[in-house]
Amino acid sequence: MERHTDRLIYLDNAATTVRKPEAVGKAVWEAISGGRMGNPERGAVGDALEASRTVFRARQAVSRLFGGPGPEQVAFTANSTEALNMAIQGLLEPGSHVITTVMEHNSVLRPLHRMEDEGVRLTVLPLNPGNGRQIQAADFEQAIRTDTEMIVCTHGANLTGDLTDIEAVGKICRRHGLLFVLDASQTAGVFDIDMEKMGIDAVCFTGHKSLYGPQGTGGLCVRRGLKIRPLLEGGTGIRTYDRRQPEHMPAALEAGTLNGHGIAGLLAALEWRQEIGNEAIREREMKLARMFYEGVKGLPGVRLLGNFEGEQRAPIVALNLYDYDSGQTAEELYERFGIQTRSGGHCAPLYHKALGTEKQGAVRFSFSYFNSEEETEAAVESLRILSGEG
Amino acid sequence: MRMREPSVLFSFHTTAEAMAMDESCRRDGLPGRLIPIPSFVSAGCGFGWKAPEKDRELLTAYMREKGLSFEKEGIYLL
Repeated sequence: MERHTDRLIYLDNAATTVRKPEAVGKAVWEAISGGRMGNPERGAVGDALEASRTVFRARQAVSRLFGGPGPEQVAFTANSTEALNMAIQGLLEPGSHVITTVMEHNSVLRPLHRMEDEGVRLTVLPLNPGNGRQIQAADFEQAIRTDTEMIVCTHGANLTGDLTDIEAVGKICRRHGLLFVLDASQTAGVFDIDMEKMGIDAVCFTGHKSLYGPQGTGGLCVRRGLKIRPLLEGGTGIRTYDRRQPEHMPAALEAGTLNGHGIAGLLAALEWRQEIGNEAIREREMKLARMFYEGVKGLPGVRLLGNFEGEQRAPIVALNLYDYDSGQTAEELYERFGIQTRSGGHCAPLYHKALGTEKQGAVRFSFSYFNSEEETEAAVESLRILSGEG
Repeated sequence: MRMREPSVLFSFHTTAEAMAMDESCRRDGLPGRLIPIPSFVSAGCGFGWKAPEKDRELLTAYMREKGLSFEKEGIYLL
C-alpha cells in the first residue's frame, strides 16, 4: 500500500516533539558552528568557561522549572531513562521495599526489576476499578509497609495521559518518611511540578518531549542532602586525585563530557517556555487533545483507553479501532491519511496487560503546542472514515 | 612570565559553585574573575575566583550575603 497524501501530520509528540521553537535549533546551531562551545566544566579559560556558563544557566532554568533547591542540584543525563536508572539504582538497597504502579514505562519498571533481582522488594499497584481505573493516592498509602523506603511513579502515563495526583502522593511520602522519585517524562513544563511544595525528592525528566528541547538531553533535579550512588564513574573535571566519583552534586551524577550542544538547545527551549508560560502551552495542548477526543469518542468501533472525566490530563488520546491490531490501524492512518501515530506497546507492558490490550496494543495520538486545529480535525476525519469502513 | 601579585583566591567544591560565583559577581560588578586554580591551592573543581588582595573583605561579605558557597580562601602570589 502506498501513501495517498503528501501531507504529513505528526501526532506522536509523546514519543518526541518534532517541531521545536525556532530558538532551539538556532541555539544548537550556534553552539556547534560558533566555535565557542568548549568542554563545559573542564577548564577556566575562554571557550570552556563560556560552555560552563551555558550549562550553568540551563541548570538554573531546570531548577526553577521544578521548584528545585538550586542549580547545583541539577545533573544532566542523556534522557529520562538514564536519570531514572540513576535514582532507582542509586537509592535502593537490597532488603528495602518500593512501591510503583502498573502505569509505568519500562524506564521505571526495568531498573526496578533489576533491583528486585538484587533483593529489593517491589509492590506494583494495580488500576483501581472503583476510580475510573485510576490509581489514587490512598492506594499508595495502603501499600506502605514497615520496610517501604520509596515510591516511584509517573506523573503522566505515556500510554493514556492519565495523571497521578503527585501532590497527594508527596504528602504521603512525607508523612511516612519515604523517598519520592517522580518520572516527569510526559509532563515536565506542561504541568506544575514543585519539589518543595509537593515533597518530591528527585524529578527525572527528558528534554526532547514536552520541553521541546533536543534529543539526548535530560536529567534529574535532586533534593539537597539526598545522596545517590553514582551509576557511572569517571571524568568530572574536579577532584582528579580522588579514587572514586566526587560526592558533591552535580558532579556526583555526571561522569564524562556533557552534551553541551544539546544543553544549549535545552536552555533555549526553557527560555522560550518561560516566555510563553506553562499555562498557555498546557491549554493549547489540552485543547487540541480534547478536540480530538470529542471528535472520535462516539465513533463506531472506537475504544478509548484512559480516564477522560477529569479536566487535567496529558495531551494524549490512546484508542483501538474494532479488533484491528494497533499496528494495522496506525499503518492505515499513515499510508492513507499521512497521520503519524504510535502503535504497539509503548514500553508500558503492565499497563497494557491491565487494560487488556496486551495483544492488540493501542494507537496513541499525542499533541503538541505546534499542532493545529486543522491537523486535529484531519485526524478525526481519518478515523471517521476508517470507523465507517468497519 | 609576568610578576605575580598577592591576590585573594576562593576555591570551590564544584563547578556549579564556581559558576554561581561567576554569574553573581559579573552581574553585580564585583572585582575578580575565574581562573584555572593552581594545584598547590586545591585539587577541587579546577576553578578559582581571583581578585586583588585589597578586595578580600568586600568579597567575603558579599559571598556571605548572597549565600555563595566556596571550599576555602587564601592569599597567594598569583
